Amino acid sequence: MKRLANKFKRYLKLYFYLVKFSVMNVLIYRINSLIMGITPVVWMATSVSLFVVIFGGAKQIAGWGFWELTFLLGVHELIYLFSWLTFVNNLMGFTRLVQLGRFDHILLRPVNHRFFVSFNSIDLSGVLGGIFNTVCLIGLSLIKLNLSFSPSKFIFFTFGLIISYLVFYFLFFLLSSFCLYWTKTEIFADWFMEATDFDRYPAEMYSDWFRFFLFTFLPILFLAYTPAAIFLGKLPWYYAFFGLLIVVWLYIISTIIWRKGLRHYQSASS
Amino acid sequence: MEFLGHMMLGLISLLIMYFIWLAVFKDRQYFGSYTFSSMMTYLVMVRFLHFVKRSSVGRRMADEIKEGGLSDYLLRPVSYLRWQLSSFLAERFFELILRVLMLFVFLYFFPRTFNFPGFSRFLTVIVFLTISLFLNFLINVLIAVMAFFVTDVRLFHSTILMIFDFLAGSLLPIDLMPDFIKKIGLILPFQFWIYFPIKIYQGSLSSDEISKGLVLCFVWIFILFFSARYLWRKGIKNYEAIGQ
Repeated sequence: MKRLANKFKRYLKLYFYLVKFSVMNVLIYRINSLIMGITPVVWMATSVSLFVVIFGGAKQIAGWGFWELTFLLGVHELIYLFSWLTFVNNLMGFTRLVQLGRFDHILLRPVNHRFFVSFNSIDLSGVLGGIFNTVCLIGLSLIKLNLSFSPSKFIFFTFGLIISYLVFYFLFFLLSSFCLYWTKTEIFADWFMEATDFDRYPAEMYSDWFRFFLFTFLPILFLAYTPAAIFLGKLPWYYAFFGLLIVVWLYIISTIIWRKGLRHYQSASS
Repeated sequence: MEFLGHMMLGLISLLIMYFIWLAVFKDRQYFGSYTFSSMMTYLVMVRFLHFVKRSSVGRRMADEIKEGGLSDYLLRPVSYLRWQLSSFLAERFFELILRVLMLFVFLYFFPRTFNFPGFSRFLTVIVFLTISLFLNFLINVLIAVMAFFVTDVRLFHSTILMIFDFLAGSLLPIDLMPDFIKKIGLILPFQFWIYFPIKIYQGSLSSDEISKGLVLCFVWIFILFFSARYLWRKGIKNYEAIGQ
């Protein structure tokens, strides 16, 4: 137990240093970072405008009202914000490292390789825009929806958010690990990112088989839809626990693929 | 493989839009002046035109200005902008032929969801697209010449293109947008990338409206051409060929 606590402390300290370097990097190019923050805001404005137009002619989409959809969009933005901040850019970089044969440098380091390729820096580009979007969308929709709060609702919502972060991480890690087997795998990440858009809209609008597919084989609906729907009372609370099962399953699969991939890795660039 | 990959990306976003509009049209026949079928035709055409219009020429030129690579071209006995235009047109025409073939495959498999307007109207769209390619190139040049004056154009590039794409009608038809945006969108040149050719394709425009559109398109080509030329000349004077 003491050994585990020491290990945890060591990695926490290491992560703190990695974060410190990332912040220092951003502070060198302050203006650039500010401008980068505008892009997510513009992107979000176009998404919301689609809703505004649709709700100009319809009261609900698949049983969801305008502010409920805005809340879902806000939760999606929150998950994205944390994922980009912590691992997405690192795992994209990992694919490039393998392609160039530079992954060897990481394999030589006395650190858990999986941890290092996933969390070697934090990506602060666009973080200001992300925070702005999240606060505006969630804040405004909560005011407009006038929902009643209860501790259990809050606990399940938080639990759902943690699950969604883990599902996102393991799915993205799994897809990134394919670079250890094949040369050109960036397109998998692009597909995945595009497919996460399915999670920005109510699952009720998809056909039954497609919804089943998005809950099981490509469990994207656990990202924002599940926590948001549980919070809004549109989905039973136990869906958060289904998410936990998915996390365990994804952890096992990704670990097998990662370990086999490491044995497969030939250290030759392409 | 990369080509197939990008095609898949287009299909995912099309599928999302399909489900959204299917939900909207569940208890109605019309949304504005659109039926479900005409909306799907619009969205399929958006994907088609997106592939025809997308180009990295602006980013490439901006990189060459920023990194000093432009100097190599300035020493050659050829106009840099004309050389870029030829390369852009060759690239885009190849893409156009490829996408037209794909469109026919789509038409063959989904005749009920996707309407074909007949060959004469289709040819009008192709002619219009050819003209709008010049407009596209000039807008790309205008974005690229900013590299003469600011440190990193890449920061603006994606944000600006996102706004232009929206005003071109890639997310929503311009005639469904709120009045204020609609008025702006119908004056600006971006409509000629997506919205206007699709409306010709769908037969929603009278010959009078098409002629007016054509005139507006040429006016924009004229304005953008002289703006690009002015800024290019000014930028070249600023250019220090150091690179970054």
